[in-house]
Amino acid sequence: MSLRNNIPDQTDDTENLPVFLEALKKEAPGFKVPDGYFDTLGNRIADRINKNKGHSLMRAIIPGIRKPIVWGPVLATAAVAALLLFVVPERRTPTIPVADEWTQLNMAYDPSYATEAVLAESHEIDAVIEGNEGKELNFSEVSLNGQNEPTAEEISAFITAHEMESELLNEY
Amino acid sequence: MPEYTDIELIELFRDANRSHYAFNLLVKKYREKIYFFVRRMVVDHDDADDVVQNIFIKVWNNLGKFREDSKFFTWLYRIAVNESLSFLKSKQLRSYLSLSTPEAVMIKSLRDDNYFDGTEIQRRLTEAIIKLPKKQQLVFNMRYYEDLSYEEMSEILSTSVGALKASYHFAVKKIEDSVTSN
Repeated sequence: MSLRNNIPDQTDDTENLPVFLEALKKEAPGFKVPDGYFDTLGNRIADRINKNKGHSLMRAIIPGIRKPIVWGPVLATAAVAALLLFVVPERRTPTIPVADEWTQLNMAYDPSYATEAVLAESHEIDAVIEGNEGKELNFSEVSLNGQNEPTAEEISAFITAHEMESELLNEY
Repeated sequence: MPEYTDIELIELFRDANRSHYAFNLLVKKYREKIYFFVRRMVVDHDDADDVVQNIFIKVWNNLGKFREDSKFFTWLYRIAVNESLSFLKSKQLRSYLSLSTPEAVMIKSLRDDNYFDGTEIQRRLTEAIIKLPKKQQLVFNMRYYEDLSYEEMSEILSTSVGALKASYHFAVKKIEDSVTSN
C-alpha cells in the first residue's frame, strides 16, 4: 500500500527518470535493420498472405484438413490395410488335405490320387462321428515293409482288419 | 501519396477493389513503429521480422471484422503485444531443452547482433530491459520509447492505470539498479 502511494503520477515520470535514462531518450535507438528492409516488407507480407490464401482454398475444399486429428484414424486404417495387403505373406493356393506323407508321395505321381485321399479322409471323419472307435483308419499303416506302394494283398488285408466297406476302397 | 486517417483507410479496405491498396498504406504507416516495438521485445532482427509479418497478416485477416469502438492504433498494438508474447513464450518452451535461460540467449544474441550499433550504455540498458518480467518490459517500452499515455496502454493491455504506473515505476527502479551495478 505504501509502495503504491510512492508511485509518481504520469506527469512526474520524466522528472523522476534517472539521469542516464533521461539522456538516452534523446539518442537514436541502437537497433538497425538491413538496407531496404522496410521497402520490401510490404511485398513479403503480401507474398505470405497469398500463400496462406492457397492453404485456405485447400482447407475450404477439404474441410477435414482443418482438423489434423481426423486424419489419425484414417491413416491408421490405411496403414493396417497396406500391411494386410503387402506385408503379411500371401495366402497359399487352396490345397487338398492329405492324410499323410504316403498320400502326398502318391499324388506327386498321379494327381487323381488326391480325390481318393480326400474322400478317404472324409470317410475317416465319418467313422469317428459314427462312433467306430477302435476302427480307426490310418492309411499310413498301408505302407508296409518300407515299400513305396502297398500291394493288393496288403490293401485287402488292411480292409479286412478294419472291416471296411467302402465303395471307394472297393474300386481301388 | 494522399494522407488518409486510420478510419479512412479502414473504409477503403472494406471496398474489395481497394483493399490491397488500403492495406499497403496501413503497412507503410505503421511498419517502423511496430517493427521497433517488436524488436525491443524479441531483440533479434530475424525474429522481429517474423513476428512483424505475422502481425500484419493478422491485420489483413481480421481488419474486416474490426469494430470502430476502439482506435485502430490500439487494436494494432494489442495484436503486436499478443504476437510478441506468444513468440517469447514459444522461445521459452524451446529453451527448456537447452541449458541457457531465454534471457541469457537474448543477451548473447544482442552482443553478437550485427544490427545493433548502440553505445555501451545503450547495450546495458537493453540488457537490463531484457531481464525485466515481460509485463514490466512491455510497460517500460511503451512508456519510455513509444511515449504512449497510461490511458492508451491501459486500453492495449487491459490493465488499470494504477497498475501500469506501478509496473513502470518498478521497471525504472530495476533498470537503474541493473545499469548502475554493472
